Amino acid sequence: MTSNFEDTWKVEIRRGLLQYAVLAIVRQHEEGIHGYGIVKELEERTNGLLEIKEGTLYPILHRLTKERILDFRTEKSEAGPKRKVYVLTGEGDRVLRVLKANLQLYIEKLEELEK
Amino acid sequence: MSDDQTKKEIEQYINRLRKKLPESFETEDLLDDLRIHIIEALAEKQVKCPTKDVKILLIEVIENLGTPEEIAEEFGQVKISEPKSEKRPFQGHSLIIRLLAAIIVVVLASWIVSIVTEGAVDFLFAVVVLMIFVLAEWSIRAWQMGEYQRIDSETKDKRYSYRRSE
Repeated sequence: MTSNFEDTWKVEIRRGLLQYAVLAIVRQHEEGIHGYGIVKELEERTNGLLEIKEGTLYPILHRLTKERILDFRTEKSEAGPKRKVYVLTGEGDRVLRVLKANLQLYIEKLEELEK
Repeated sequence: MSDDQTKKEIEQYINRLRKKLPESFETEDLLDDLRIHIIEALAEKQVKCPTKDVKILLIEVIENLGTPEEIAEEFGQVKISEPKSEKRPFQGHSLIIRLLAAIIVVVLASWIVSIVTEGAVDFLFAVVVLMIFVLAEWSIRAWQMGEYQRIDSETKDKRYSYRRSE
């Protein structure tokens, strides 16, 4: 029962953090990064903490693109077919900065609660 | 496993996923992205493990991708969390302006036609015929908009009932 609560909580927290992490990764790649690259970085750079089922990333990328937080261009992949290369828009950059400030504030306040 | 067999396996997975998602351009776009992802991930695995059977590698790639249910769930979550677009208020002024513009265009066109044909085509007859075309075009457009809104609302309902049934 407790484990179920923890799992549900982790899923809820991860969902929000995942979008933040995706934006942070894309921001670091000024020339753009493709979906598969984002998946790899999420896995490697968070030591698996934000590892996801790879296919679930794409609905998130679609949402962020629709919201004009991300933009994309297409390029031919090494494996052959054309793939989307995502870049952060100006609005995306602003959103990421706001999210970062909010996240720091949440952490600070939560730490204060434990004092 | 041959290339054709590999493509067939990929398409089978894509089709299973397609059945879980609403019919839309966005779904097809998403499926294209996933298809490319599978091809890229498989190519990378083949480079890393050249002696391993492609079929096993493909199974691994698809496992990493997640089940169609998991992807559909994420797609549903993303859609449900999107803010609903506000309904557009009645645009009476715009409708009147469009109607006036249509009448002016029809009258001008009919006048030109009757002059060019030196009266062979009666001015009033041309007005009536062109007005019928205008009304037909408006009716078809209104029907298409209605259909679009019905399909859009049905797909939203489907997504909602899918989430509720979990």
